[in-house]
Amino acid sequence: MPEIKKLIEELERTTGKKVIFTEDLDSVNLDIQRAVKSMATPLIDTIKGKAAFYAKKHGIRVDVVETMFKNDFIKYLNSRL
Amino acid sequence: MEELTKKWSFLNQELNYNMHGELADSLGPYYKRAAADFNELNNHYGIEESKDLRFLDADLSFDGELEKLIKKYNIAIPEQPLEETEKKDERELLMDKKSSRAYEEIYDVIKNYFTDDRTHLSLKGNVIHFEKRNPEIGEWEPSVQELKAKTQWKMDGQIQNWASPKSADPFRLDIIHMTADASGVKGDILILLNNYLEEDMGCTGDIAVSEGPIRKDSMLKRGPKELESANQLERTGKILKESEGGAFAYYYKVGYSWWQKWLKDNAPLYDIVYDKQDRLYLVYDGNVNILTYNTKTEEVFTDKQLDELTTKAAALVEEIERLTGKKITLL
Repeated sequence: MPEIKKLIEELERTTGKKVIFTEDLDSVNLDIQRAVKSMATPLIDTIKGKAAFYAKKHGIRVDVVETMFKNDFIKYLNSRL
Repeated sequence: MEELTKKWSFLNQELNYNMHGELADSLGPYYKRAAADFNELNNHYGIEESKDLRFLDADLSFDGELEKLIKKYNIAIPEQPLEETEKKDERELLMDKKSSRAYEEIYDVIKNYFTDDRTHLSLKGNVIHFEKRNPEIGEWEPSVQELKAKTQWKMDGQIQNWASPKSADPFRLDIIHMTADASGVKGDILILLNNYLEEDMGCTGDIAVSEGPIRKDSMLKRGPKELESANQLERTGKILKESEGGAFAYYYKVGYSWWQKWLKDNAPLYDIVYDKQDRLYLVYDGNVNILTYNTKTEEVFTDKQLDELTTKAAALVEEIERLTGKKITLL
């Protein structure tokens, strides 16, 4: 496991992206999409608070959930433009 | 039975507006009351209390669960047939309402967020009054009282004039005075308002939501003059510290420069974007190609470096998937 952790860290450094196991994606996606709709502005503190909640709920790293929030918020805004 | 049906109707109506999934964690007392209503219904229908209330506490995604319960116990939903409800989200439901009905329903939603005895909301004609009692002097806070004339929330046709950036009366809805104890609630209320104004009333305008830059004590010290208009705030560029515990939120119609300054101080990673209707959005790292711009190191890569990194990344993905036996996704 430490080896996998190192590889994941290296991949995240290389790409600047967060790594998430695809099977975990679906479980958290729906919650985040709903939550994003309820957010007025993507303030850092608001995102962090909500991300911490969902990270705990789904057992996923909080920084990964934060990234999902930010990405979904952009998608949501684009859909309204 | 009639009373229970009313409760169910009320609850269902509220849930329609609050199906954001995560709201329960911030609603607190409101949520407990909703749970109590469910409890009463469940008792009436002979449903085991803890079993069917579990989703309220654990899952929090209660929209789907609510529908399951409705189907399971064949409870009629007032006004909206279930099939139609399933196809619509809360915004679309809002759009369907007649203006006066929507007004009453929004008021219902808003008033139920305010559970402390210091806040007073009243519905007078088409105006919602938000008032706050100062416990130290036992009277309405003067600044709020004086601001009341400008905080009247007019829900009639004139609102369209307000929402336009070119409005002849830019102060018509400068400020909505709101208080709430839990983080996130104010934003949800304002989203409802925003949707109502834009989608149901057909308004356009720069809708800006401010959660935090004004401190309660600063406002009280400075009085209504400081808040005379959002334009003044913009002109002075006055940015106060974060509010404490989300005690106050103000809804300003502010300009670009105000947001620019606020963002620089509070959220430097965000950009301002106006859409064709002059609505303002904050965009994080909007259209940046993540492989040519590393958000962690803020490095920008050449094409050659990019090729090398892409090859390296692909090899790492392959190796991680092989070792774990799971597919991975890069966000």
